[in-house]
Amino acid sequence: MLSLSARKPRWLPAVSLLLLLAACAVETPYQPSEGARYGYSDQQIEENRYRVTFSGNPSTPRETVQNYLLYRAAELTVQSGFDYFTMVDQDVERSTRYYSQGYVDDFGYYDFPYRRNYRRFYRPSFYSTNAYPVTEYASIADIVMGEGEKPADDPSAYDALDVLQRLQPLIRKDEEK
Amino acid sequence: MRDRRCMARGRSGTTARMPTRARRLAAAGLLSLALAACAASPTPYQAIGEQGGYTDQQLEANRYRVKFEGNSSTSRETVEDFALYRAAELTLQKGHDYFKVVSKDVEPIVGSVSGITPGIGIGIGGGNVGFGVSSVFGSGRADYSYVTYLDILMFDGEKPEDEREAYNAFDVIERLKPSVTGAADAKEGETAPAQ
Repeated sequence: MLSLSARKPRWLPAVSLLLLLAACAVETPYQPSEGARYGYSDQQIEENRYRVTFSGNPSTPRETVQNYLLYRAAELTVQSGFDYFTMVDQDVERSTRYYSQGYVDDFGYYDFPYRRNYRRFYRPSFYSTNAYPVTEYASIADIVMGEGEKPADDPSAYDALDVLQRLQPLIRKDEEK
Repeated sequence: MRDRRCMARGRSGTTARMPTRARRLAAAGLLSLALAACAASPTPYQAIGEQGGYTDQQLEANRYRVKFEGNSSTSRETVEDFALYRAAELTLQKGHDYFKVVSKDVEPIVGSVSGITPGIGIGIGGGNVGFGVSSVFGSGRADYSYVTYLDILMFDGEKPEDEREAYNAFDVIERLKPSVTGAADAKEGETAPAQ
């Protein structure tokens, strides 16, 4: 019995996935999105009410997105001349896309000699698929800013300066390219 | 014997004996089934490691975010219990008595989905022409795991009776200790003293 096989290399899906991931393998830095897809943006809704958003790329973990949002809220509060902010509404949005790879695992055939020619018979094959999830997080919060000491009995109230100080070590800004 | 010579007609030039490859494929299939049946052991109560675990981040003077990440063999309840246990432990470690859960989120994480569709090919033809029929029935599976996030505020003294979000740290530790220590050897000497 003879057998010849034509098959795609197994590493092909893995390599193409790597290429895909390499394209966006760097975490979204702390920066304004400025119309782009990733980064922070804010919208003033009232005199002391803002909506703050931070969107991370697929390489940005959820905690980072949350931390940057909180940091931005605190920063904005201080910039606007207030001392504390209250999270009125917060939401984390998760979007997952799947990158699917399918490949024929074993697709072989036999060529049998037949009347001075060859006749081809295909043999059983397996079709393998892999779907890789790629998840992005965006955090959105409505904040209301206030002056003076934060109300002690409100669990949603954050001292802006305190937050800035605690999260400062985690903030990674984009270095000048 | 005549057949043997035909091996030289390979397009790719690679030759492989089918029985071996089929066996290898079958072995791979069996292996993945076996793996699925007895997957990794559940995440123990531990600081973040390869199998998951807890992490915490200070956000304000008395505000922390606690995260517990379980692997695909860890149930959602366990992940929630461990997060709560960590919150209580951290509260005591920081010298406070009770904590309030400001926000809680449990996120299911779906791993990559993989599947195999076995195909049975029948082909006729000669030269480079041929066709095959293959089955469209296949099966795939994905691993689920859970991550719990707790944003907590820590306080001193007696917990307020009328607040549902307030937890007595001592009490939580005492109640959850059996399930925590039952699932893991309380390692790293990080377990807070009960009572």
